[in-house]
Amino acid sequence: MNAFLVKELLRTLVTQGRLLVWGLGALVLSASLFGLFATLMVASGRWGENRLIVLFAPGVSSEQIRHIYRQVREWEAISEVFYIPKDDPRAAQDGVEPARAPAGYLRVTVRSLADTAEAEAALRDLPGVTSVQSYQKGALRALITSDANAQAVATGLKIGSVLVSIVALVALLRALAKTWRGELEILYLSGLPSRAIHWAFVGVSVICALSAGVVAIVLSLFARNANAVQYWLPELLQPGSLGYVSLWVLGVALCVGAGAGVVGAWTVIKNFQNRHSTPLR
Amino acid sequence: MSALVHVSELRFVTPEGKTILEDVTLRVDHDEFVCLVGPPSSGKTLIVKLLCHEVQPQRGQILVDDRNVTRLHPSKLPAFRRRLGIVPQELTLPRRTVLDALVFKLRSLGLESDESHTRAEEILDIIRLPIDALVTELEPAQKRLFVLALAASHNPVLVLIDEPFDGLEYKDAQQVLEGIRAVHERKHVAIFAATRQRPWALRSGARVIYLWKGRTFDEAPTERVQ
Repeated sequence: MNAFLVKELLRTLVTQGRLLVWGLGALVLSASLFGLFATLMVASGRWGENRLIVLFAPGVSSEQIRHIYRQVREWEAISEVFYIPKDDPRAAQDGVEPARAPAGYLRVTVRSLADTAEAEAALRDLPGVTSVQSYQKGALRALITSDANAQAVATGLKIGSVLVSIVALVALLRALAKTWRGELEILYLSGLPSRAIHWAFVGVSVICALSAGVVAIVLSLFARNANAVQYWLPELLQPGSLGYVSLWVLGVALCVGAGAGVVGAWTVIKNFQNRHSTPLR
Repeated sequence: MSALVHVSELRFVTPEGKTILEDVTLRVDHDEFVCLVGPPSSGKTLIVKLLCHEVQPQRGQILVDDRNVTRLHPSKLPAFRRRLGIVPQELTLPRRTVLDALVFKLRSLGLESDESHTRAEEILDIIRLPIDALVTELEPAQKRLFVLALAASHNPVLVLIDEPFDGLEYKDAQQVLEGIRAVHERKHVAIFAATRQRPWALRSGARVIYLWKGRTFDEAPTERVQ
């Protein structure tokens, strides 16, 4: 890839006012849509269903809690157990109000989702345990996971967000190619291989797609603390939610966006070349 | 020593069946300045296009810099084009300064920044242009000279110029001619210019070839070219 051309294209993007506005618009739009994509993924995912919250009966002694903790830790079906004391910040992540767990509680992760119901029953039968609950579901997640139509809409939105991001990116590349008409004619006349020009535009599209992804991730991290987000998606605060939106899933989404950007860039430049670049008229 | 350009028995027919070039034979030596003169639509630009492999003839052979252009593999085209400097009749100009545009072209071809600046300044020493002026805001003659500077900046072996004097006032055409001569003399590069302006061709000091009814002549044909 001709690094000089990529650098010059990016310089044009930043220094030309109209393109800069266009580029930032495309970036914000892509970032927002990518954020929507990631949020819908959290909302429609089946994560955290193998996690249980074990609340203790009032007046239970710390010795009893330790005993229960050791007993549960030995169970084959359980992969990990944490004791969360009263007023620990992790209680807020788990959605457990301090008043409901004056003696703290256990956060239990069952090894297999299929064993969750059985483990829940066994935990409930332990002396000193008052209740066992699964992770709470936010309004959006409850809606998506319970209603087939809502699930279809969520899937449509996810696909749509990726497609609109691609369209925004392609539109930006189109504007860039138009601004670079003079430069492109010089390059064609100079005998620079067409593929060098294509790859420069492809490089820019990949950089834009990745930038949008990074901005989206940063915005998502900030948005987690917003009240509205906590109401609709309390799961975002729960441990494991970001783990569920794993880096590889984000990577795949970014690659799909960047890959489509590549195809878009290629098509735009090819069309442009066919229409405008005949040096001798 | 073999010729830099050797074209023989060239024939070109349009897809509609109109014969533009019937039997074109021409030769350009190394460091030679040649003007091809012909009336409008006689096929001058077509010959320039054929020389830089923009289009293919139906018959004939084109040798440029020891390469058989008619049999040039597409993968070899960029390298071949880099041996040429092409000055089209019109070019969409970038919104850059003269120096920046020249450096842009040279750096795109892989030259380092210092080397690009040296080469750009070298060609601007031959073709006098305001280096900090925006290319789009140059005078008509200066625009032509800028494109010539672009074409000659990477030290090609042959510069192809299409209609260098067309649409220019006398003074501007004179300025362009001086620029072409300066490039030819100081860079020792062969120049092939196609023009319908016979007086300018004769004034240029170049060897003049005439194109008339699809054929080339060393002397002006009896029928008036223009």
